[in-house]
Amino acid sequence: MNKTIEEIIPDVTPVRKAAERFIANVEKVIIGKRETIELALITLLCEGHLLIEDVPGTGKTMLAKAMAKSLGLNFKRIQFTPDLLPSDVTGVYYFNQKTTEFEFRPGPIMSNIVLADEINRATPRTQSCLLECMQEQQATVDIETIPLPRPFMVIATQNPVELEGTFPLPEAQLDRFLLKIKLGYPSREEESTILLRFQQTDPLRELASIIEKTELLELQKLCRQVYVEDSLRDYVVAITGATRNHKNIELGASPRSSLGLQSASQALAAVRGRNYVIPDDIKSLAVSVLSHRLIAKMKAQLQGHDTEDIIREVISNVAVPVEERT
Amino acid sequence: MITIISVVVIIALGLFVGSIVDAALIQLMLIPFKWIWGLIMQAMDFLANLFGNPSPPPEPPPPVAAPPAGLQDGFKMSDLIPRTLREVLRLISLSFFLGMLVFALWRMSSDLVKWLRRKLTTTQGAEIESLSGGLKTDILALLERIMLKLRGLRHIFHWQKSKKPLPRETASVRDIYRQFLRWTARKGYPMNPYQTPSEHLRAMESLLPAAQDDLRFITQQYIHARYSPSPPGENVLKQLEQTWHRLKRIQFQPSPKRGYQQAGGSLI
Repeated sequence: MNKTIEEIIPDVTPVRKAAERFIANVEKVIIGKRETIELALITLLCEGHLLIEDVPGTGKTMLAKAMAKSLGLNFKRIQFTPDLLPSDVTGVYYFNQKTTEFEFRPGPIMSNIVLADEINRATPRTQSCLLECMQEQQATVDIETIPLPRPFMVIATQNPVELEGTFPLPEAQLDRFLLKIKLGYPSREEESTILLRFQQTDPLRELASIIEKTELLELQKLCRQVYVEDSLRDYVVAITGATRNHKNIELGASPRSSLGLQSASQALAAVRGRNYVIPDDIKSLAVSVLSHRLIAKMKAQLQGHDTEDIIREVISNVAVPVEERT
Repeated sequence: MITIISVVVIIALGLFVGSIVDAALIQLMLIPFKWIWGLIMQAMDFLANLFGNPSPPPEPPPPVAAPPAGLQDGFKMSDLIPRTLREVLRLISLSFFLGMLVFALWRMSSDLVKWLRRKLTTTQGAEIESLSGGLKTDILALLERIMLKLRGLRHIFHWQKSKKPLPRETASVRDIYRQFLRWTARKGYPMNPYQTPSEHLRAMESLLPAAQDDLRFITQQYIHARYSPSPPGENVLKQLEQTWHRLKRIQFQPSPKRGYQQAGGSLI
């Protein structure tokens, strides 16, 4: 029997309602950053990973912790330091003298939400142990491959200013982050509100969990079913393709980034209460999804053009699939 | 020894062919050619009649003399073998020929590979890596490519069928939006190819603050019709037509070009 369109494309009202609850909850701690919180939620709904980059003291770690606390999920934090080893992240097999057997002691990666704080402070060797976890949602320890719990999300923070004693993330690692967000400094009024709110208590401690595991998995499933019209799929491909041929770009966007842009657009549409994607969704997410995956040419960097500027230029030169303008 | 066997095989094949091929078979093979030739002649005749002065009908051919009685009742080798057996033999010979062809191709390719190996062993620094199943993979890949090409051709021939017609309501909404775009273009505010409908709406709202609601309604309905899988309702369509009639009666001057650019529009 043929299904109707309404049966195929689901009602995304639960996603919109859950998003409102989640944003309102996190806003108790992170003030005046509604759009950033929305982007973080989109990453969660797409089963992606989030990279938060900003100067110290802007609330990167606070946002990650508030997100984790708002979800009734298992949360672990790893402070990345130069002496951190891969086994400190994934876990290790140790010899139990009582049982005279090797036993597995799981590392902090075996959690639903993992906060990789100051990720660029660990050595490339330790950073690389996250590659398999982030892409394949599994970890290989010795000869055994262990699946990670679902949902699984890595929230990494890094400081772009302090470069001494840091190891820049490799491209393969950056490509695995769905979005990169920046918090930025708050406005005067917002900062004043922060001072008032944190004066006597820590609102993070009082934050309640508002989305449970099963509900989150259901919301993620709904987001994947949001309708993407064929011409919009071509639009995504045209944007990522244009980055590969841009004169100021050394390394263009990967097919993984096209997938990421599409799924993030689906999640944004669902968060806004639509069960179909529109070009504005794609346009508004392109910078956050693509900027960290591209490498600008040295000449462009010296001229002061960063990848975000280049993506904005690309978007303004790719035709939007609209009606024929006759 | 091999030469003798080859000669015997060739003679046997000759006998088989002699027993199988007869006048009836040749007549049967010629039927399609005759039919095509007839069609060509008819077409040419038709074309010649179009220009007038039809040529006089050809004279009937002279009667063919009957062949001598001795030749009509000539002896044929095929008469010795019954029809069913002849069919079976025909099949056997066909499979034999195909087998021989495959065998010859296999021998040729294996000789070629042997020659290449000999050549490589005498070449300094060359390494030989056996590719078991390589030929099979190559043949499968070739077949796959042929199938893909054929599928592509099918797409070309059926391209009009694959394009689904839009639902009536969706087509109407899109048509109204096209009229709206033409209207704004005539007033000097065409939509930029890199603008989304929402961005164009924002630009137009700043120019026509009095018609904000109408502009928003038309754009929202268009966005729904264009990017959503479900068609708009009949009521929406009526309301949209009314809105569009109301909007196009509004007069506005196309003079403040700078204002439009600031609002995110384009004058390209």
